[in-house]
Amino acid sequence: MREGLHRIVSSDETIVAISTPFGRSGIGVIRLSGPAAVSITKSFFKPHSSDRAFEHRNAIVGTWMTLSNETLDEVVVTFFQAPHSYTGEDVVEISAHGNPLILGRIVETTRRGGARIATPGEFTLRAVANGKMDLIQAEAVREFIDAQTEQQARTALRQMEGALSQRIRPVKAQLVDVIAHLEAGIDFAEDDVDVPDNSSIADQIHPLVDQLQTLQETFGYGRILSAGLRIAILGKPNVGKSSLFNRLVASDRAIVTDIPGTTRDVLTETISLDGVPLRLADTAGVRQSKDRVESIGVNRTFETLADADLALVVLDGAGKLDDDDRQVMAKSEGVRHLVVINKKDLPQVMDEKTLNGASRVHVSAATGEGMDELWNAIRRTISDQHTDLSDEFVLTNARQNDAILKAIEGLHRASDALQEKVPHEMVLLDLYQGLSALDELTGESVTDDILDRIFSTFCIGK
Amino acid sequence: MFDEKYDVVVVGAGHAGCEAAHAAARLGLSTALYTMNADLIAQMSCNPAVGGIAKGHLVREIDALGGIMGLVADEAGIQFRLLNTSRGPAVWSPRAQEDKAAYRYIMRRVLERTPNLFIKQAEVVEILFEQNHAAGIELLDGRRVAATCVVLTTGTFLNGLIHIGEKQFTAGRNGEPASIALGNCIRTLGFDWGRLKTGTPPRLDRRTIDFSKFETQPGDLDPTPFSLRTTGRLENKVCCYITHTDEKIHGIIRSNMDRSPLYSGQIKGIGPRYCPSIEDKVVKFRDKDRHQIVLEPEGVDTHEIYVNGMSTSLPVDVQREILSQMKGLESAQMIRPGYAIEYDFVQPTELHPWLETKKMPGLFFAGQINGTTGYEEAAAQGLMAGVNAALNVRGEEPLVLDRAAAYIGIMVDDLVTKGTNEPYRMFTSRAEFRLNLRIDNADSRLTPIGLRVGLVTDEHWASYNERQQRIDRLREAVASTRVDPSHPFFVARSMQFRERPTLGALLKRPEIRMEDLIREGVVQTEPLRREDIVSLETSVKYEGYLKQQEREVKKLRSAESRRLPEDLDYSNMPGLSREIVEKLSRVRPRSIAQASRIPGITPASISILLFHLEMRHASARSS
Repeated sequence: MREGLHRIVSSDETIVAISTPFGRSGIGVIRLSGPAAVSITKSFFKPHSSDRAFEHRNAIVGTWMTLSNETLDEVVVTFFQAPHSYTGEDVVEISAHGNPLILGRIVETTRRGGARIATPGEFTLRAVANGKMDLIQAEAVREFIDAQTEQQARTALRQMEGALSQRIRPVKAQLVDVIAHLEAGIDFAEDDVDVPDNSSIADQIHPLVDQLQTLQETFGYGRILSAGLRIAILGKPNVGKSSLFNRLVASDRAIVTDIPGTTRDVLTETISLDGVPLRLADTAGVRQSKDRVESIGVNRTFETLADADLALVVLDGAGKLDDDDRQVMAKSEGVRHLVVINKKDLPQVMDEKTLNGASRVHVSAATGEGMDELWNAIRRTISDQHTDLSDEFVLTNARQNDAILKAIEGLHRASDALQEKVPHEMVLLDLYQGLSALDELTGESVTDDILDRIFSTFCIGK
Repeated sequence: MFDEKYDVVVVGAGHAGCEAAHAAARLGLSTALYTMNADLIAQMSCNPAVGGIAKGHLVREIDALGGIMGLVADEAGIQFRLLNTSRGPAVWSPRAQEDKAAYRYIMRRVLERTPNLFIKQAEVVEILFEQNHAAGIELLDGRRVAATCVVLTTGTFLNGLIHIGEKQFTAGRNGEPASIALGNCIRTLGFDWGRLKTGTPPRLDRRTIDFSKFETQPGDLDPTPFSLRTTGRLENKVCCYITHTDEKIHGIIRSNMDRSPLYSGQIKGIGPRYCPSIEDKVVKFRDKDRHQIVLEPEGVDTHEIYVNGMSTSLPVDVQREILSQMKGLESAQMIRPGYAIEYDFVQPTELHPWLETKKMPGLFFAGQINGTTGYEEAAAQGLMAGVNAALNVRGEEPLVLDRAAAYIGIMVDDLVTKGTNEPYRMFTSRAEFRLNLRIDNADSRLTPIGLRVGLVTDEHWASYNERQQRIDRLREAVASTRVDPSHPFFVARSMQFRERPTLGALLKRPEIRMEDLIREGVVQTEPLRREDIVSLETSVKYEGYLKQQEREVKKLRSAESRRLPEDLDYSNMPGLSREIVEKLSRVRPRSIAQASRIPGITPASISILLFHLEMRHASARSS
């Protein structure tokens, strides 16, 4: 009955997607296409200088803000005016840092601004619809079919595993039950049908919202699961960053010497903690330096820090805090961080009172002392992203997240409407919105189940 | 080689056939309506009522298009009720008890007064074809009648088989012969056919019933007509009577279950779940300790009483025993027993959305042959089939109503897109745009369409325009009229305003009702129907929902406008699974939207379809 017509190319909707491959890369590109591409961009983007206008092919540097007007990232925004774009519509490309969490948050702001997450191949489809054949003809067909079949394969796989569907199906079944009761009350008012009162219907809806919300909250954690938690190890030279790095990866890849400033570039290694990928980055030591090569390394360190989900700020417990330490700590203020006081095996001389209560761990990278405590602190960081670690399922995909948000929104509106005594045939519109969003997630429509449910629940017919 | 010749021949004069013949004749085509018994035209074979929730919508729509069921039902109606008025106006629906004899008589009179329409009594035994195109019919006596289009509206007559207990016999309705020859003709044409089942309850003699034991159900004080063209005041002449079964009766039914053909395996056809027999109710809803029974008079000049709720195929002695256990029916005499009937139907996926069969051009189906049930469902299809047969003869584009335009459109789309496995009945829950499909706007949705195809008379059109102007003036008044805050209405409710509010602003408040404002003289209106006033009020109060619905309608229409070419070869489309190709090739959807409604079609395959469509357009543009 109520099908997902959003797949039909309708040029009045603006779509959004991350267009660089998922995972870590230096730069991530988000593409917005449709009539509201520019207006959505303008509501979140603050250009650094006001003289750059949104003109065709103009690249504008600025800041991407959240709804609450906080800075999300430094970005470059490029506008392609219809019809001179990939899709033939107004297109805005947002180049941001490649951190998937940040890219995801930028996409989320555009969604709130009225964009819809694109379906697989939808950009290509719009391009074809707008006669951009000459640009893309060769690869279009294959690319499009691949997008569809990949989606099908993923859907099939998911259904085999049943992870998401298993979570959604009971919610759907209960929602169908609520809908069936309301529908029966309308269509079979002449029969002996008991319709529950508004407050008991709302009582049936609330637990569904809770269940969906629990699922939705796994979204941030889900991205960490698939893309990994990026950990930057930083500190001034010779505090034992590389030793700590090696201890963590249990290998000898980083060169460890007693001469300060050996690690001039960023070394990375991916390890696994309880199945969660940790992307460790050992950075160049931070200090005032005239050495050109070394200062390039220091700049890289700060770039790595900006991308990190967690910074391990390494201090030397056997030495006194100095300006370099303080600079490192100041730089990591904007990032979730953990102070690691190294060299626990040596006499401790550092005055910890000046650390102002930042969470800290004492270790010895040389002996391995205190490492368990550090691992636990990292685990806490991960589980902070996700309230219930024993819950195996997490949402990893922006479209799934989008659908669940839509479902929650519909159910919320329905329960408000019930409270305001809105007639049931209207409340049902909200409930159907929720149901069709859930249909998108499980890939199966349950519309016909509603009549089945009515006929099996109520003895209808005179 | 032919004895007679008509543009359109309609076979069967039930509710579908009457509308089909009337519509084709109204469009100026010479039309013959064939029936096996001209005294039983428009016979109501089951309950003596027209309308009901969603069905009442269908009747208003038939009327708005220029059909006749609404007018006839108003004139033959003996008790009128508007249902569901405790909810919003979108789901209000009229229902009326009918005098069955009057209904037949009035319908025949209407048909006989229709120019170009000829009533014929004969049994049709075969459909004739010329190179796969319908060419006419052959009658039992060997005569052959030529026609450009043939509309089959055969009801339960095709290979009809009646069951009463262990007894079974062929019949079209009880006491009328079945169409065996025509049924076998249809079976050999290669359609995907099957068997359905329906049932009817016993009829009683009014004089033997103690009505004091029943709860009385009267008609409305202010009766609502089906037809917006009905002018005279409608009169309630009868009441209905309500009672319930009890556990003792359920025990009788259970202990006789072995004698029910429904449970012995004797009946193979599938019955409707929403109209279960009394034995089904007792078996499937074991924990329900009572079931509602309504006694409905079959007319004003007859003693016959219809026992609504007791449809059954149990043997006559068991039916009698059940009745004798009901309070007030202890000594009731049965005029006719209840029975079940099985009949042939053709999967409606065999049809184009204009009800012409895909295999045999010129052959149209309407009513129970398409797997539906109900007088109103039949009449609505009959009207569409009649109009489309006529348009076909005239060489014009067929008329297809979309799901946002009418319940009729929803029904036809459901049938031709999904097929059906049980008798299909209309429900408001089948309508995704339910808020827009109301009885008060059936005319503004459909009368202009009826006029365009030639079904709506000049007189009908004039009354339509006059009514629309009244509604427009009310709408204008709501938007601009400012009310007097010192009116006693507001004083009594201690409501105060900084400035004189418009009527519209006032109606936004949930506690303010337009009907109260009119009754207490705060505003004056021209005479309009209650549903018009409440509907306008609702559109003000719940503007957000209606706007949301409008947006959805726009999306649907955009998807419906993406037509899939007739010659599309799905088997050559990369990316589609064999199962999807098979489904698409069978239904041959007209649009992307229709394709998306075929059961089992995945969103990914819709995307692929869209993509190919765009590629086709693009290469057409570039060449």
